[in-house]
Amino acid sequence: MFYRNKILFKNLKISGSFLVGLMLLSTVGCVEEISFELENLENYLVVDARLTDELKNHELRLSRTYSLDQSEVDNFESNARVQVITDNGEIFEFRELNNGIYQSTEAFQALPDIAYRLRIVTDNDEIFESSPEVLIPGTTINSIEVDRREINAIDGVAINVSTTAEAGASNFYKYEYEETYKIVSRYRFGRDIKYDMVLDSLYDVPKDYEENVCFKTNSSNELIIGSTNELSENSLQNKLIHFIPVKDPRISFRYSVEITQLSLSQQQYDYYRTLQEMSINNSLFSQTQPGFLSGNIYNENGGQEAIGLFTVSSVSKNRIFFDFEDFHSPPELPTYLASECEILIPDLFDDFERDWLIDLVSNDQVKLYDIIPTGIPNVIFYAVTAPNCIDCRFYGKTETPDFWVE
Amino acid sequence: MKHFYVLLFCLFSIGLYAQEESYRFTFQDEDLQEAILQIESSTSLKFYFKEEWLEDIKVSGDFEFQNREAFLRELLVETNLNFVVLEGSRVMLTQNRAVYTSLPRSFSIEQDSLGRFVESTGTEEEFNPIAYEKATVSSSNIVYIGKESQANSRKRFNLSGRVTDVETGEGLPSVSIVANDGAQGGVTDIDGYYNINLPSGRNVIKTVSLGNIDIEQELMLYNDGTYNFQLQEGYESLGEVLIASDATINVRRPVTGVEIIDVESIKTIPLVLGERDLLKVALTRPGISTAGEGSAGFNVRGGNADQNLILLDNAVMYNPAHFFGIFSAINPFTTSSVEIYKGNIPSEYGGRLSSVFDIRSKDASTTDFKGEGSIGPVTGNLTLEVPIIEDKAGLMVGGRGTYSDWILRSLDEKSLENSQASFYDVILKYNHQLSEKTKLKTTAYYSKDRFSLTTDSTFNYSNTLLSLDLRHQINDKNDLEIIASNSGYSFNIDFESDFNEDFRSSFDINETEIKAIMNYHHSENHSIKYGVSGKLYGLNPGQIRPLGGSSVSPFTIDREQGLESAVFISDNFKINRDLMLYAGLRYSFFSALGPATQNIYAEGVPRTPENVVETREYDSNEFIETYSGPELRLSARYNINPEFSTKLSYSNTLQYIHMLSNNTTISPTDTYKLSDVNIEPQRAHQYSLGFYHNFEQNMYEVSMEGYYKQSTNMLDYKVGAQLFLNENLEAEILQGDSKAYGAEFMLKKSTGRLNGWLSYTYSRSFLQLSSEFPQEQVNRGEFFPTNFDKPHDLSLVANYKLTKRFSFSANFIYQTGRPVTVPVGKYFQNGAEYVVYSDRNQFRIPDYYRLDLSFNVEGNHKIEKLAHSFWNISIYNVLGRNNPYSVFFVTDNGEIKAYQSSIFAIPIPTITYNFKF
Repeated sequence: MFYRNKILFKNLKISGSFLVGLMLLSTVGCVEEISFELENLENYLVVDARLTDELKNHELRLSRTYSLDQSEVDNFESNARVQVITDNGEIFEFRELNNGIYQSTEAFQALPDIAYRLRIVTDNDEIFESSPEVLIPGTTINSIEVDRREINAIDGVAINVSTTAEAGASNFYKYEYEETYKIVSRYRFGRDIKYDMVLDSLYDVPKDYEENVCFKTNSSNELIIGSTNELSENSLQNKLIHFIPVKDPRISFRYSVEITQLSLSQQQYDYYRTLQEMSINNSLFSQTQPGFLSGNIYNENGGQEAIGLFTVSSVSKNRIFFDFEDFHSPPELPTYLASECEILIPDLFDDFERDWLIDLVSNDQVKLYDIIPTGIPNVIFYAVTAPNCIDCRFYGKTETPDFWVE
Repeated sequence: MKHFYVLLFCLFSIGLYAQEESYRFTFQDEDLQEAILQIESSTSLKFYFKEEWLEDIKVSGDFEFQNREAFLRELLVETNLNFVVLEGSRVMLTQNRAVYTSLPRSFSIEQDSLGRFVESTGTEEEFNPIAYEKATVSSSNIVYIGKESQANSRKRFNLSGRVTDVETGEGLPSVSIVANDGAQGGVTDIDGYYNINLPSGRNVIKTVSLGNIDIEQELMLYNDGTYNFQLQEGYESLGEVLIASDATINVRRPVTGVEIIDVESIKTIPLVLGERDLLKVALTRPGISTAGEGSAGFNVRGGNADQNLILLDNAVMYNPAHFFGIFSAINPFTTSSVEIYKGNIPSEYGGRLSSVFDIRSKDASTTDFKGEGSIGPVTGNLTLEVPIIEDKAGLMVGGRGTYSDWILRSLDEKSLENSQASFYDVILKYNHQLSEKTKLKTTAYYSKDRFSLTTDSTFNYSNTLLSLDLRHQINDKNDLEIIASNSGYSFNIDFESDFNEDFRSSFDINETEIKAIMNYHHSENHSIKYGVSGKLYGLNPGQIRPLGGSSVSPFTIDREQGLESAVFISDNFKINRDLMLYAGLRYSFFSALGPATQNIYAEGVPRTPENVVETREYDSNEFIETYSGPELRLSARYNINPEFSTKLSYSNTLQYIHMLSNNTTISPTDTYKLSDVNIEPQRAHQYSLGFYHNFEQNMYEVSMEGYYKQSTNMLDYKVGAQLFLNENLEAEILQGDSKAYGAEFMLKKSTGRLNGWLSYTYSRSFLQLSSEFPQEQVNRGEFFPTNFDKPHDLSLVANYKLTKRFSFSANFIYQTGRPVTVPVGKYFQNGAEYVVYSDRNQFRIPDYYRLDLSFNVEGNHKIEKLAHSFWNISIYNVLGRNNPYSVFFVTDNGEIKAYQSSIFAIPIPTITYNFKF
């Protein structure tokens, strides 16, 4: 069963640029913003649910659609009764943790040859049920390759995955990644500046906490899908998962990414592919017909079906690490998350400047950068800068993740 | 004036003979009336006139003539009077007119679809002597046809022949041949041939045409025979009058829903980017529309864009658009006319549900070397006509190309360095009169578009057409036409990326058709046409080839083949003077042919690749599946009076080939699919009723037609369907019912200083995609408006002639905005925000309106010049209306914004220079 998804996706991208071409040809075409009055939206249930073959307490998320003029809101669906029912009669109950996140009350793993059904009874007694889904067999990620290259005229580091198709395993995959990067503070100094209100004096104390090295973890928020029958070797070779521009501070020190590969059925894959296509800008000349995307969760009373998919996937994970030096060479220098780092040295003999510094210190708006002797005994000046230039906790956490390997 | 005409007819019946006499007179500033009295007193001539015509007219000079005609001509040379000498030396004076601005009333001529005449029902009351006044009697000699023989007891004989242009030798179509004051008559066909049935003995036949000096000829008919006319181009011909030679077709023709557009008639219509475009003009006619400005594809009476049979000289043209539809692929200089059947399609055509666009190219001149060209801002165009064998064979070569590549590159814009957009088309036509009764025409056409607007991809598409048309007159009653054609369409996309994944994907379709049509002119009351056709399709639905060591795997979807054949018969049956029937029957068959693999899907479950239960293999040329059906084409015309008729029609059609497009508008990368095990043919039924009225001597033409159309098995697609390179294509296809209805109104003024037309259509079209499975439904299985459902559609095309050389034209178009599907909400999933769409076509984009103006300067006809020139200065979208083409939504800083795109948002001026030699 061959399916030429990726190539078509590229075609779509190409068609997206017809507009530009024609406008320049005639120099008269035009795109302008308009106000568009819309009627009140029907309130659809949105389901984000998947089981995997990992033994764990599985989580899923229920929410509602919201109107176009609202920015991202927590329109979560609470107080629903959520169950996963197998075709041999087993029932796994889910309990709401918070904000529409529901977790199974017991740890379990999806097993082959068992059909799982998701059943949701909402607070207003609507009943939704998914079609029965079986565990889609998958393969393991062969390798993650990282290289530096130009994509669309941007120089950067590309993170790619390779997977070989296996007999009996699905050809369709969804990818997610979790990146973790080390953050090193732009400046470091061992002491903090304090202000004693009673004595009306500025003084400094040694630091008793870590703020020079932090770690930050982000989850992917893009939809990345791939199929193993795109290429001649019947495999996914160098499927681009993530691309980081070369001057991005995330790769200034040490960087790690864990890629999760989830097996999909062709139908589930098609759902995601269509979702992806409809989220791209439409072109002037050939607009793909959009519409309601039918998932696999239906309203039992024949009403409006829910948005989203219930999937049962095999998981394969793989992690890699790399350092700045692996893909950069002199004279390239690391960049920092803290980019605006002005150093201020207030003149403490000037009452106005002294009061200003006291004000900044009292409000934690600066951190100590250096202590500058004035040449006058017992009189020092303080060099200060923005706190995020010293304290990496503005960007991440100081705890080293369990998986971290230096 | 009326009694005067009656008198004239009475005079015809008086039989007298002329005497030999001479004419010698001298007048010195004499009143004409006085002079006439003198002439009457000394010769046998008797003059008839209205006194008021002769007031204040003086004659002077010495006249000495033996010849009566020469004398009269000289006598009246300084006046605005014309004369006709009737039997008995009666001289009928007529008052001349300065410009021939009105048409003669027609002679109840009926014409079938190929321009063959159907014998007239003319009566004397319908005869209009204005035409007679203008007729120049070129010869007073009687021509004898056949030999008088006692053995021949037949009372009627067939007279056939050809009307040609005396200069070019080309056949003149649509010339009325009127015999015996309209008692009999016919019309020349597209090649200038006519055939009429006349009583034996003396007949007076004459031509009635516009743009030519007409000829009258007296014939003595003793047997079947031939008489050819050669007409001179009329000095006072006005380009826009030419369409009026079919002036009464609207009222007379029994078939409903026909639009005829003549290339000459659109010469002055404002242009966009300097291209004269027949198919764009078609869009101003009622019932024909397109999804958006500049988009390719026509929607005829609520039908999909793939339901039109677009024929160029009988060969199917799959993509008649250049550059996404901004330009049409039909070269205006090589085209003579387009006839569009949107209601009742004649039975010799089939295979498409909604319409036939019958585009005919011009015949090449067989006498003179001729050329025509134009220079516009985007394209250049040159057509040459070369006689090969004097009076027999000619060759026409037409070519058109863009220089927009050059324009793009000359702009100082870095992002355009790698962009290209170009097209060209060439047409070659050869016509050869093999014998008096046999004519051969061949046409070859090729068009190519190439564009690349991003660095990584290049699109190419092309049409190839070849056709051969052989006509042979077997005898007086039967003629045979054999048509062979081959047409192809293909596109390919070359993709070059930053990765090692370069590839070329491609699609092509080819069809070969052979068709034989017999015309049997049974009698005055029956004109029968019958024939057979067979068409073989072959298509390569899609393939991918890696380019230059790429790691992309080659992939090909199996070739599809199909055979479509049909037998057809029709009769133009005149029941009586007022009632006429067109009865056509077509029986069409389609077989999908092997080798092929067909997926069989489980019953009772959604059609998805997982539900394939069997894959059947078929051998080469094995019949996979056969569909067939009768197609009835019936219509009736009833004349309420000679200028007012009503028509009623019913037709049904079948379509076995389907265009696959999941875009809201047509794109050059849409592919085609033949019916097979899983995809049934589309079927449609159409009922229509119309009223047609011509008045003021056909100067005005009013028509109203209403229709109701029901179709089944219309193709649509699941949301996000993959239509190209998909082995389980049928799993993406939904088939549903559609219904369309509408009322079309048109007012046309063909002649006069101000001419043009106003058309208004109210129409709706709906589609229903229902299924027991939610994923195979659209809008819960309810009827919803189609992408091209635009209820109100108004077009005004007007041309005002200031002088013979200068004219103004204007177009005004108003249309309801087309339906669109827009996002109505958002949701958060997988860490990202997505939009949820409304029901299909729940909203509409704002209404469309546009005004175009043009000023035309025509070269002077009078002066002999090397080249005749024509300038057109147009402004498209004078009001600068920013008409939306589409509406789309993007997320900008977490906010979703609505945008509209438009194609020609500001007034666009263009100047085009046309020349002819």
